[in-house]
Amino acid sequence: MKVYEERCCSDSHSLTVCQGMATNSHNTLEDNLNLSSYNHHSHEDASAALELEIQQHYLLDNTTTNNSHLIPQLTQELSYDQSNWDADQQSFNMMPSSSSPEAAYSSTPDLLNLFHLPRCSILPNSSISFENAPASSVVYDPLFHLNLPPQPPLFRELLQSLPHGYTLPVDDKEFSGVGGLYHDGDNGILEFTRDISMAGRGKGRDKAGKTTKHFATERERRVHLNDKFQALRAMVPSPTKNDRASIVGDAIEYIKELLRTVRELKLLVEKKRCGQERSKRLKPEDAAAAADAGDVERKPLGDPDQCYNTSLRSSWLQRKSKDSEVDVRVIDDEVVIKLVQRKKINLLLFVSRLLDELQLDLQHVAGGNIGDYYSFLFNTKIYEGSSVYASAIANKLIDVVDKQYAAAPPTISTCL
Amino acid sequence: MDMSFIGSDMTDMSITGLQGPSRGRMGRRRLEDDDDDDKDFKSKNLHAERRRRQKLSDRLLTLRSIMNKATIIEDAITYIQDLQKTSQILSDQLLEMEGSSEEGGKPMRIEADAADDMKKCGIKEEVKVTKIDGNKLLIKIVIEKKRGCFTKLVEAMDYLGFELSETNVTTFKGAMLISSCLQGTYGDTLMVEQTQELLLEIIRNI
Repeated sequence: MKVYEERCCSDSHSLTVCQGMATNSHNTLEDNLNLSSYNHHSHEDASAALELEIQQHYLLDNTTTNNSHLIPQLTQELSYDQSNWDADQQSFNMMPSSSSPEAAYSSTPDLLNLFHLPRCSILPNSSISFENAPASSVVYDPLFHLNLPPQPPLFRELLQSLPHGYTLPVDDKEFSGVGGLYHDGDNGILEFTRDISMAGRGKGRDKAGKTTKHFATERERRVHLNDKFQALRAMVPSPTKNDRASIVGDAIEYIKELLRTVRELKLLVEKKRCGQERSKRLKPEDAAAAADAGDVERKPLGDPDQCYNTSLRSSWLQRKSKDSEVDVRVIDDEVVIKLVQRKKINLLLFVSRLLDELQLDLQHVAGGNIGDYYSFLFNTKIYEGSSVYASAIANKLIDVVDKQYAAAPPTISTCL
Repeated sequence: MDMSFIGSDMTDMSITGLQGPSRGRMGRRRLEDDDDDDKDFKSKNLHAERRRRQKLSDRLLTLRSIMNKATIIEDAITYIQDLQKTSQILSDQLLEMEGSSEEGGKPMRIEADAADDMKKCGIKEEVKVTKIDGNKLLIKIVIEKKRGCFTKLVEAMDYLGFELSETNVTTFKGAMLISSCLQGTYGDTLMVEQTQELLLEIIRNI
């Protein structure tokens, strides 16, 4: 409750009015709460709102008879609500009001209901200063559930950062144009309107630094950009650090890897297709005869449907996880796999099983214990006819190895 | 001399297109003017080519200049997704093709040869176990190389509580040589003879 007192200022009454229209709630306490928070967020707007509203009342052909009472009621309501505020919240004296608290209190709800005007027309946020305010700025507003119109985030931030005092420096950049707000009395209201409209339309307020409009979009843009960076990071298989440079670096490496993989796959598909076409041609012959005619097969130039793609298949990948590291290099049909893992499981067992599955023929294995880690190098050959490719090998390997690592219970270190 | 040089340049720059419309001029002129014409073509083509390259680089520069951080990141994301899709499609395609091809004949033939090779070289299957420092044993195994033999070996050893640490495996002429440091998985001491017998047993069953 105290908070509200401190945040009250001369415009609180004007905000009361606008707020009531916005929320249209019957709970006066809630209203006051809302009002106070609304108060935080748009002083100038509220006052401008009030100003606008007054104008609108004059201009509009009000349908309800109630509305005709609005303007005189408004001015009176200002002081009423102020006193109401005082009465309820025990706020310190902001503006000495004349009317009795009880009357004000009882009339407040009625007044709130009286304003049937649509929210957007009342509050100038959307029309004057913040026509370009992006919708997403509303999302970050903790009071979003109140369905308030988009507030200038600037104010919200500043005011939220001042829990105890409502003293904002007049010479604060963002407020320079509307600095008079807190010091002027009635004159202030009119000035605010002008300033707000200026703030909305004018970009050339360099003296003031960033305009409120700019601040909103700038912040939104920054957050948006950070989200994109995070999205990029999420796509990369083994992200390292979480700073922008590493994210971009990882992305670059990943793109290069993807390009290599795609190239390798295209080559494999091409070769496979050639192989199939060749075997189709040789189908009428015996399988044995085909084997004998192996020489013919190996000279693609003689075939009518020859494979033009005789280039060497080469590709490599690296995958890192928390406890393991895999490096797979493929040249033609030879695959070299390097594997490093924190010593815990019987690596050789799982890896050799997996290599059998992947149709890789072990030619050479070398490795052992290095400090805390197991490090192994596997030289393998791809069995003929298999079209396993580098990234498949690497991904499967790191999966299996990690899974086994995670599944294995922590071992007791043995002294040897 | 000159002509040949220019001639090669002409083909390099692929200005064959220019020769068509200018043939009329060529026909009219004398041979001594051919030099100038060729030089003319070369310089014209040079200009055209240069202009084209300039235009391309200017446009690329503009493209780079209009890129801001956000669009670069967005483009990167899109490109990565695109590449991932492509690689997925290709790998599916490959998998599909895998099923329809018949290449099972060859590996069997290779393996049959392996056993023969080994016998020819006089390599015999063997197991040798020696004790080294502490709990470690050094083992040497020579077996006939078959598909999946190493896996079976390691599995059997694991089952018996043997763990290979420093390992070296080589294959030669259809035989596989495994030299490795062996320890008990649970830190228990291994006896040499016992280990030797067990290993021999394993090999016989592979």
